[in-house]
Amino acid sequence: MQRRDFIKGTAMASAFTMLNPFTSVAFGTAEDNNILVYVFLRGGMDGLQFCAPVSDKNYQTNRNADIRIAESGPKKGHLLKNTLSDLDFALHPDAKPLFELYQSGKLALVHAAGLTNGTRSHFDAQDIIEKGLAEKKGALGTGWLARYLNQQQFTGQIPALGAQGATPLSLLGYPDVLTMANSNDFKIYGEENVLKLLEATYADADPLLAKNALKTINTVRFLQNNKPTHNQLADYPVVNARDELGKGLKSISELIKMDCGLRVATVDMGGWDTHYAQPYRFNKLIESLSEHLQLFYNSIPAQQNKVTVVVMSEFGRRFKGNKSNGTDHGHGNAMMVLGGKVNGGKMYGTWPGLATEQLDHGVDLAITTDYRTILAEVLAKRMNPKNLNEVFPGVSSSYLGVV
Amino acid sequence: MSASNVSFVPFKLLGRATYGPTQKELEYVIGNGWAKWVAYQLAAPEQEVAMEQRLANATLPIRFRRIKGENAFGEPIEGDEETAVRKLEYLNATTAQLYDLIADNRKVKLSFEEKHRPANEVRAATILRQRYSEYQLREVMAEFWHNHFNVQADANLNIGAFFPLHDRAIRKNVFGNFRTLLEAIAQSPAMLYYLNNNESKSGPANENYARELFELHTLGAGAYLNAVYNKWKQVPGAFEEKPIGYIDQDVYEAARAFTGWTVGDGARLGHQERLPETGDFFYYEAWHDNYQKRVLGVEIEANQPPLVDGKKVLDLVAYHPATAKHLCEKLCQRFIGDTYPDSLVTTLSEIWIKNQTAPDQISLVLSALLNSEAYCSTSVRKIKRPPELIMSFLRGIGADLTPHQSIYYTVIQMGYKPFGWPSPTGHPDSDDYWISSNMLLNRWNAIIGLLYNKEAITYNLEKQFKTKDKTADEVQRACYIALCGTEPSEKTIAQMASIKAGRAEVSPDFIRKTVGLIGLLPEFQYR
Repeated sequence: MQRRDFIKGTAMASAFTMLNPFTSVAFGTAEDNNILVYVFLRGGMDGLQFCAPVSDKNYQTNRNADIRIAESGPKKGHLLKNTLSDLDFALHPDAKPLFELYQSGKLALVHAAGLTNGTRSHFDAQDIIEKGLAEKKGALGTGWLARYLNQQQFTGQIPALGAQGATPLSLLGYPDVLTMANSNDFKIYGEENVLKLLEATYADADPLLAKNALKTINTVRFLQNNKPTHNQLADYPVVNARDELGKGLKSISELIKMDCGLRVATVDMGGWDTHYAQPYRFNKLIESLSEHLQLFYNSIPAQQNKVTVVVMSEFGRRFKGNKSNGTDHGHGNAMMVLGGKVNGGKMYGTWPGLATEQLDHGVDLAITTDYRTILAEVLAKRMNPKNLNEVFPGVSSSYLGVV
Repeated sequence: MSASNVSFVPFKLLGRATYGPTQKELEYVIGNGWAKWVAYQLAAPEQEVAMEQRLANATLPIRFRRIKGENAFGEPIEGDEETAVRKLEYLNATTAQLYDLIADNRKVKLSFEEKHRPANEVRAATILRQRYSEYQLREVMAEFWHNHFNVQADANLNIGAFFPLHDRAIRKNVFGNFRTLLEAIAQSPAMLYYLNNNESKSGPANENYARELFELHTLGAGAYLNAVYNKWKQVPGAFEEKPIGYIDQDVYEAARAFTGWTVGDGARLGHQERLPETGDFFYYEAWHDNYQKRVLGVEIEANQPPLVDGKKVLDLVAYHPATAKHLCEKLCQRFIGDTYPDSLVTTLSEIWIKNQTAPDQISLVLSALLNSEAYCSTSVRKIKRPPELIMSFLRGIGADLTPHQSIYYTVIQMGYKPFGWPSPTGHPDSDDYWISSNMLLNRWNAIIGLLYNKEAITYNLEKQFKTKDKTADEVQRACYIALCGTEPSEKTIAQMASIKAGRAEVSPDFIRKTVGLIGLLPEFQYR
C-alpha cells in the first residue's frame, strides 16, 4: 500500500520535473565535464521479453504467453514509435517508466546488439564485454572504462566510482577507482588515531593495497566534510534504495551532486538468469529496473544534460522457452541509452528477424550491432576520449546516431 | 634466534591450510615437521569426537512466527514474532525429517525462518568447525568444495531445508574421489533446485545445470570452444572421442541426458499425480529424453536404462584432461596464491588423472601440493577472504565463539556470503577482488566490531597474552607475534606507539585496542 502510494508520488514528482527550470538550465555543459553511468544487468536479460515485435507471427508461435509481450489484452505491452523495420515493437507492460522516458525522447533503444563472439557463458561474455573486446583472445587485461580513464587526466576527488562492493572488471586497471556500495554508510568506526595509523601503515603496503586503502581513507574524510547539494524534489528516495541497484544509483546521484569530479560510474543489477519460472521473476526485475532508472534520472535535474546512462547485459536469451517456463542462454539483446543529450524516442540497429533461418545458429536472436559501436559512440561524442582505438581496438566508427 | 622467528615458517605454512595458526598447531609443526602435519590432517577420522560434542551442545537463536491458520485466499496468517535459543537440530537429520519442514500436507504449517533453519544451522556449525576443529585442512577443503559446487541456500526454501544433505555430500568426499563427489552433487537436492535441473524435462531441456557442469564443475571455461567451432566434428580429437574441449552442442546433449533427474518433493504432475514425497533424489522416467546423444565425441545409444546416460556424461566430464587441469589450477590458486608455477599444475594433473578412480584421489593431489616447493616458499602471499580474516583473528587472540546471526552479517558485510553467493561461480578467489576500497572499509569495521560483539564473542586477553607482568611495549609485541607470526619491525613498533599515548598502564581497554589495531594492519590481511 505504502509503496504504491509512493510510486504515485514519484510519478507526480517526475511530471513536476518536466516543468522544472533546472531541467534545461545545466550548470556546466562543457564536453569535458560529462558523466557516463554504465549499468550492467548480470545473468542475461531476456531482451525478447523486454522489447519485441509483438505482432510478428514467429514471435507469437515460438514463445508461450507467459514469456511474451502481449499484443492486446489487459497486460499488453507499450507500443513504441520509431521502431525497426516498421514492426510493432512494444515494451514490457511493467516497464512503464522506461516507456515514459522513451516517449519524452530521453531514452533510445538499440536492438539485436551484443557481443558478436559465439559464447553463451555468462562469465566469458561478461569478461570479454567488460574488457571492451570482441573475443576472448587478446592481451588486454584491463577494463574498457579503465583504459578510457587512464588516458584522461581527471584530477577530481572521485573521478571513477564502482557503486558496488567489488571493483567491476570494466574499471580494473584504473588506479584511482573508488568502490563504494553505499555513500550513506561509508564510515570507519574508530577514532581519528585509527585513521592515522591506517594511513601510515598502508602507505608501505603492496601497491594495490596501499592505493585502495588511501583512497578509502581519503573518501571517508571527504564524505565527512561534504554533503550533496540537495534539491528536495530531486532526491533519490531512500525507500527505493534498498537493493544493490538502488543503493548504487542513489550513491551515484549524490556524488554527481557533490563537487567531486565524478566522470564515470558503474553499477550492477543481478538476477536475470531466468532458466525457470521466468514470468514472475522477469516482471519483478523489469519493474524494478524501470523504476530505478526513472528515479535516478529525475534525481539529477540540473545534470541531466551532462549524464549518459548505458544499460546492457552479457547476452540475451534463447528465442524458444524451455520446458520449465524459462529461457536458456541466448545471443542478441537490447541495449538502452538514457540521458538529456540522447537522441531518444527511437529504436536503433538492424532487425534481423525471428524466422529460424534468420536466427543465430537457428535458435537465438542474431546480432547486427556490435555492442562496442554503441559504447564507442557514447565515449566519442560525450566523453572526449584521447584515443578511442586504444579503448576499443579496431571498432567501427560508423555510429548509429544514438547521442 | 628468538622463538617468534623459529615459528615464522610454520606460521606461513599453516596460514594457508588452516583458519589461522594457533599455538598448538605451531608446536606440532615445529616438533614433527610439516609433512607429518599434512599427513595427520589428511588422515582425519570421519567423526571428530570433541567437535561433535561441541556441535551437540551448541545453540543458535531463531526469530520466527507461528502460522495460525489461513485467510480466505489460502495465504498463511502469521502470529507475532517470537524468539528462542535452540540447539542445532538438523545437522544430522534424516531426509524425511528435512522434507517434513516443507511438505505440502504438513498439519502445522511453518514460517520461512523455520523452513530455512537447516541452512542457518549449517552456517553455525561451519563457523564452529572453522574456529575449533583440530582438522583444519578438512574445513579449508569443505569451503573450497562449497565454492566449487556453489549453491545459494537462500535461492528457495527447499534448498534451505535440504542444505544439510548438500553439506554432508561435500564433507564425506572432501579428500576422496572427484567422480564420486561429482555424482553426489549432481544428485544433491540443493544443486538440483539451484541450477533448475529438478524441472528439466524432455524438449527443450533446461540447460542450466549441464552448462555449469562443463564450465564450472569440470572442464572449465578454458576448454569452452564455442567461439571457435560450430559443430562437434570440428573440435580437434572429436573423432577419436577425445575432443580438446566442448561447445554448445555438448551442453545441449548433456542437458538431454539429465532430463528427469529431479527431487522427490511431491511436485504436482497433473492428473492428480505427484512426485513421491521423500525428499530424496528421484529419477522420473516420463520426463527423460531417451533418444541417442553425442557428448564430447562419444555416442550414447538411445533408450538406455535409468540414469545410465546421465552417469556416462559424468564419467566423460570427470575424466577429461581439461578437468584435471582446471581443478589443479583452482587448488593452486587457493593454497598458494594468484600466481603459481605451471609445472606444478602439470605434476598435480598427472597425479589427478593417474588416480582418477582411486578413493583417495583428492588426498593424493593435496599431499603433493602442500609438500611442493611452491607451497613451502614463505614468499607467497594471498589475501585472506573474510571467513579467514575473522577466524584467524579469533584464533589468534584465543577468543571463544557462540553462533549468532551477527557473525553471519559481519561476514556478509565484508562481501562474503556463506552458502549464499548468488552466481554458480562461487566466491572469487583473486586478491584484487577482496581489497577494493569498499571491501577494505568493511574489513576494518568488522575487526573493530568483533571485539565489541558480546553476543557472539568472548575473550580474556590478559590471560591469553599473559599481560600481568608485561609492559605496554611487551604486550604489543606479544599480540603482534600471535597475529602476524613474526616480530614487529622497528617502524611498526613506532607506528603502534601512537595508540599508547596517555596509557602508561596496561589496561584491558589498551590490550583490546592493541589487538584490534593489529587486526587492521596490512600484514594481517595476508594468510
